[in-house]
Amino acid sequence: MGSITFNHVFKRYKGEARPAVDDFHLSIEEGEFLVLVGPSGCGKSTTLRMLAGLEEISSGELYMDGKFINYVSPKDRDIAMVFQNYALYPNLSVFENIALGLKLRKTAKHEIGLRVNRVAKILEISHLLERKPSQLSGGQKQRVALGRAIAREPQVFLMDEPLSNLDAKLRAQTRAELIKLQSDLKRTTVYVTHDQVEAMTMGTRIVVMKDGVIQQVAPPRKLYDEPANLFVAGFIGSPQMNFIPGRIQREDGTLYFANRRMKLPLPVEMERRLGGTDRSLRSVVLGVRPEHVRLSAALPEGEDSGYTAAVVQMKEETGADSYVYLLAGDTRVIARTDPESAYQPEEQAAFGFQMDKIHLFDESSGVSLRREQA
Amino acid sequence: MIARLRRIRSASPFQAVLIGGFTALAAFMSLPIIFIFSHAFKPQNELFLFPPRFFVQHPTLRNFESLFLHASNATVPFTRYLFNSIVVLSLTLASVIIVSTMAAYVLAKYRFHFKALILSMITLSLMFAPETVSIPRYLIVSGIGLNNTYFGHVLPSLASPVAVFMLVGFVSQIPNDLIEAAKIDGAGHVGIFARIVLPLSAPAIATISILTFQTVWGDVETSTLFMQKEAMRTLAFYVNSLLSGLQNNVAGQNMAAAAGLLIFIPNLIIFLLFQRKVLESMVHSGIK
Repeated sequence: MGSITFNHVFKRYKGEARPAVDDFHLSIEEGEFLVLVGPSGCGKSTTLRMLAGLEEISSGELYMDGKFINYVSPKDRDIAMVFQNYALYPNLSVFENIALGLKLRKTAKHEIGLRVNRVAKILEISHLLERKPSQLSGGQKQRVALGRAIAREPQVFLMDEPLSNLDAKLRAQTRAELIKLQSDLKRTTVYVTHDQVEAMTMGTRIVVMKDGVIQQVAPPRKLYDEPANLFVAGFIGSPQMNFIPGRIQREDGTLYFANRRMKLPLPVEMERRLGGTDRSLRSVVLGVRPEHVRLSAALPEGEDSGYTAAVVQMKEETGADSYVYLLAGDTRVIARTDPESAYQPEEQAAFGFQMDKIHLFDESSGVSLRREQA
Repeated sequence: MIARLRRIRSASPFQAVLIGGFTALAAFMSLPIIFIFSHAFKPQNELFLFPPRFFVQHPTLRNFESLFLHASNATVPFTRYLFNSIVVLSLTLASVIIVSTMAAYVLAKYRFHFKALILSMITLSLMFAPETVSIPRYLIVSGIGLNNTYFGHVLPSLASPVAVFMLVGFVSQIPNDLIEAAKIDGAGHVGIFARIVLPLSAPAIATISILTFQTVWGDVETSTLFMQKEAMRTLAFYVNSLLSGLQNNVAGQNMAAAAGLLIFIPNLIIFLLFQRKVLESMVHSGIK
């Protein structure tokens, strides 16, 4: 129960040339915690609203448990939704807010009381049941909104940026609670956020979207380690992945990534994957995460050390790590180092990459070469 | 109360001037109201005192007595007019609220063809003075045979463009998320309207209630034009005709004074009642 299938779903708004959701094709398994993530306007909320039945589907089919539900009204879909601004009914008490969905579904009165109290206990809002929403804090409102969804015991939970109105500390705490709640209830959850940290920590699978198009669907670890394209690589991870344009060249039978400042031999494994064809000799973008940049105070001896001389621009402390911002010509590179390191602004330094951790993307299409070959 | 007094004590000179100024202004504005009360209890001789006195010297209930006696001598008793007024008022208030809120909900929250046209027609109808549409109104009311019925009183004020206009503005401020949440919770159109839209529009409904009450309570047009039977006419009509008949009648001035108070009091009560409601609902609405 609670599996969902999007079959080539489109959403076009009148008077707009580009579809808001472009060929969304995905199956969501029962009990999965799926996160839709992307910048604002990428169609993630529209997708969720189509799933909720609040937005018409322009073309394509939507199935829930194998049942075609394109034209099923929201109340008959067995879903519950948590809104960004909670959408609590201001004229009703907390109890009535949670109970309304049950009441409208003709649940027996004693049953309503039992369920509301049980939910209130889980969410620790039992003492608030008599209050009106205007007398609650943001975090409490959030819990009531969650309670309203849980009390209905639906097949699928939909959450539209439910944490974005909370302050940072409360957000981290509620995030952890949501994860626990989901694993306890084992209900399919579709969660929309623009925050990649939320996406990475909560989702069992993440859908990255941009301009209405799915960029990649993968579990968090895979998304981080094997981004499908430049957009995903840049969107996931903070600070951002470093991007360095260049070309793949062949010299003496070895493949190199090269631009005016650097010439780096590609690891054998990657070379094998790219194949020996000349098709691989083209303009690419090299991507490397800050934690895979090696720093050295001075340029090591030897021409093929793989290090490039640079100037330290600034150092950013986050407590556990510090990030050093380097500039080599017009190439900017961010490197993670331990906070004890002594790099100071304006000083000379050198950086190199852990070559087995680099990513290569086609310059024009942005697609990962690893994926292209596969 | 004590806390409030203490606050006044700790006011700055500027605030003191403001408090003093506004209190004086409020006192001045309430003079006519005080005068109506005081006037209604004046005995005949005080009514014609020159120079006139503002406050009553020897209060008496004679004026009310003669008003009711005069009325009970007529073919239709005073109480019948009062009853008519109350029936008409309740019917009109209820139907105006139902019709306007429903219309406003649909106009504010649904998308449909010709919506802009309908809205602009409602705006346009705001511009007509009631007198200009008296004749078509008469034709319609008599055409569907509503002469001498309570619905003849109600129908002309049923579609209130002012009320719809105000409510559209108000309902459109109710967040769409609330309506969508109710949809997902399982509410249909009627459920959303009754459980969400209606309670949240309470301040606006209070306001249109005050407006409608004042119009209907003081309205003589429906009684004059559509009611040929005296027994179907309202209190406002009765008082109005009484006053105009008494204009140059010295003996009738006491009745006029009493009638003036009687017709005014419900206005005051309704206003005080709903005004509190307006403020209350605004404070507790919790909509940002």
